[in-house]
Amino acid sequence: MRLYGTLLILILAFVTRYLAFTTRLMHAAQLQIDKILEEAALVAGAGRLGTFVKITLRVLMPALLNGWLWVVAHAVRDFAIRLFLATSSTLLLANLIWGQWELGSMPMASAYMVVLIALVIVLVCVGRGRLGSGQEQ
Amino acid sequence: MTKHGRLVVEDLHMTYKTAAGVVQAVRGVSFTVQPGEFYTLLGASGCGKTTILRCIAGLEAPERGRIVIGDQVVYASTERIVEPPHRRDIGMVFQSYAIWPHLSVFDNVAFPLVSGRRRFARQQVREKTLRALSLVHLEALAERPAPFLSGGQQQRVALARALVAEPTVLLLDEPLSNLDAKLRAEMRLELKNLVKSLGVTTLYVTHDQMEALTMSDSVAVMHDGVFVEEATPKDLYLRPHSAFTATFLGETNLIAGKVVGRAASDGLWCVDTRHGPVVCPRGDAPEAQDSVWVACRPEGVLVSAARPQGENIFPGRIMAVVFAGDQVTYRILIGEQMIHVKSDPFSSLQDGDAVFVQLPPERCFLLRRADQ
Repeated sequence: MRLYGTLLILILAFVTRYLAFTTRLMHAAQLQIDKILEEAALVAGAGRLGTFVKITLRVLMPALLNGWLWVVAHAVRDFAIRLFLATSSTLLLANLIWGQWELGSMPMASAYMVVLIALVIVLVCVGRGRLGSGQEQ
Repeated sequence: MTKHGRLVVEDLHMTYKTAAGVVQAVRGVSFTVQPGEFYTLLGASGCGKTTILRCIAGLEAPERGRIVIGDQVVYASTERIVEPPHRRDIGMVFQSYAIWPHLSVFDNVAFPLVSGRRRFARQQVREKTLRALSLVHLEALAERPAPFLSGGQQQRVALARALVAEPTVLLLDEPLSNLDAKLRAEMRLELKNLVKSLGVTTLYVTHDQMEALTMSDSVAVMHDGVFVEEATPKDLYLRPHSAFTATFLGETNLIAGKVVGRAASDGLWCVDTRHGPVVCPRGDAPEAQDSVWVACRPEGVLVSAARPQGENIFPGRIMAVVFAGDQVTYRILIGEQMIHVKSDPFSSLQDGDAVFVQLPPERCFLLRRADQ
């Protein structure tokens, strides 16, 4: 199976790059969930799978979203991975910017950059908004 | 509304392995809760009562024993039966309620019907959930997100959730201990009336004597992983069989003595103590020469300035007076022993008064005493 030059290798590279951080984050979040929330679900008749899907995952959701947002905000700016692994058929926005900048075409590079920043801002705002409303106490 | 069921626990043993070594939390406990009965496990922290409850719920794995809920054997070490919690027909209320924060009150209570042992049609779910909520007077809050509830309301939601699927047995793990005193007193009565009206077999765990005495049909006093004594609240308080129960449940005055034999009066026995002879009911069949404690509750002892008529009268001096609003406690020195007496708050006895203390025979009881 051909891996180099496909989207799959990019995904694998990014996952590998950021897995350590998100693992620690989720572990900390999971420790905070009181075990009895799960025990209450078990006693209420949900099996292990039902408890995980309906209770554990849903209660962990804010931490999950948080971690995802952080990874997105960083991955979008990542330089090294795309430099080595992106090809013309798997072009990333950052590559476009780099390409334009190399050619000396500052206006185009800046325009792409603005698009990139706007995208990240929108994502973070939407994400924060969803998190905020979910976490009201 | 609920089906009646019996809870049987036989020879339960449970051990924890900790870093410090092996801890035997439950050491051979057996008891039966009859259908519809309110049964309480009473004991101090660490006596094993919560462990027993969690073993019945299936949240802990015992070492050996047998647990039967209704018609279903849920745990039997000899036959290698271990049913997981979601296959046991129980409802449980946790000490900290365990309300799910991401669901509304309605969804919390409906969860056992939607995701539990038996799934119901939507209309039935709605009916049963609203009925459970009305039992705890929370119908108005059905759509409220769970985090926006007070402690007392959360506790009611937990109760409704435990009862909505009409379990065979209801398990309660110190459900009132996180409430303030006034709310606790209200909820005691409400909780008892609720489970009694539903006729659901209930196992209640607590360290609070008030709860145990006011709510239960039967109480089992626990200490260090075993049952010390098991009786109705009244028998347990007025006629305990062990010195541990007598001193754990309320206060008791204990006077060391040796049984002499039958007394002149009917049914009473004479005990020789260092304050003089005492007559009291025979109790747990002691024989002559047995070492016993003569026990009398502080509220059973009579105190007066003038010498009264009758048996078991001793002169003494009041060493301390503690006024507590609805009662007054005297500490009275008799010979070299301090006796506690609870009396009505309107009496006029003062610190330092010379008084007579009377232990009415019918209010005394005998307990075995290990020889020194």
